[in-house]
Amino acid sequence: MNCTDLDARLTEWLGGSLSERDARALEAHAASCDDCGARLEQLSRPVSLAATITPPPALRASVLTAVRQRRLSRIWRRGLVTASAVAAVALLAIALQPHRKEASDAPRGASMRMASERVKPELAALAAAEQELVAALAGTPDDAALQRALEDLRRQRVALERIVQQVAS
Amino acid sequence: MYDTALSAPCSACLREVLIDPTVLAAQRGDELAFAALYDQHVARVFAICLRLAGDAVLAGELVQDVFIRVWERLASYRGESAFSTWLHRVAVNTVLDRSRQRRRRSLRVAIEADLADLTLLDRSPARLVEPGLGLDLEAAVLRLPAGARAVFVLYDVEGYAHAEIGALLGIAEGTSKAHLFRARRLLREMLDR
Repeated sequence: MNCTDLDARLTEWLGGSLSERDARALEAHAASCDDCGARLEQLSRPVSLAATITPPPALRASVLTAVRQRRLSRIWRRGLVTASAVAAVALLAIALQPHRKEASDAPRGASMRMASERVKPELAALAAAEQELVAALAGTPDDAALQRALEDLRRQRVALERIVQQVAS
Repeated sequence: MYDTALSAPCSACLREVLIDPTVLAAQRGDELAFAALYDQHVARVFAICLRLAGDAVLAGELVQDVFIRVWERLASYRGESAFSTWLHRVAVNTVLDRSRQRRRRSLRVAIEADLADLTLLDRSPARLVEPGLGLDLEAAVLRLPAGARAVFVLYDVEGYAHAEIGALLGIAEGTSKAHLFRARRLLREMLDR
């Protein structure tokens, strides 16, 4: 189909009386020809649709619950990672105990620095998770799951800080 | 002398000015603010999901996915565009990603097939929306073949350009135009019946 053919058949296309095959041929030409495409674009502009559609009311609760669950599970995961860090530092602390005569001062100092570097991001992650929980609790202070999560994280932080102090002293 | 150090706003301050306070609060983890954002934008997001997916039940699941994704990526929103624009992009991408993940034919394959298939409508027409949700035109949009519907919604409703649609759907710009013309014709035919 060319531009002249399109001109001749445009009324039929707009009226819906062209066969599917001919209509497709006309559309394919308009899609590849700027002038015809612009004409078809103008002439076939549809009645505008509303920008919004009201969703089912029950959707709100299910979406907000899903978001909360996702948030909690992420915080729990972060807590688990931190717990493993606590365990790692505890093992290191045991390894560095004074009765281990074979450990000379120099490697011990290096290990201490390593332990301290290892702990820093874990403490930061723990603090961020705590902050997130505190923010969530500000919105819903009676949420028992959030309260438990916050208590757990705080307990882990205290344990971690105690071990860090032991290692340092 | 002009003191640039004093006059140039820091990026964090600029962000505070550019971003809506409700969005900022949600970025800080305030769930009530997030719920307010949901209330403000859900009708538009639902419209995008329903029209692109062509199924009311699936649209509900997609809305949930969109808002979970928004919650997780909220920190990456820097105020370069309106929050609604950013959110609508997330919605469109979520629908297209879901379509790609599905084992059955992807939207992209459906789009290619639509133009090759000379039948008027999908062999498996989309489920109609729940009672009271739609008008005749809405129902007609849902009955469009997947490819024509996707291009129609993105171009005529969401205001994307053909080049953007081509990039999003993985089709040529001309293919996008052909889908649009076909969608408009089919809609007219369905509404004139």
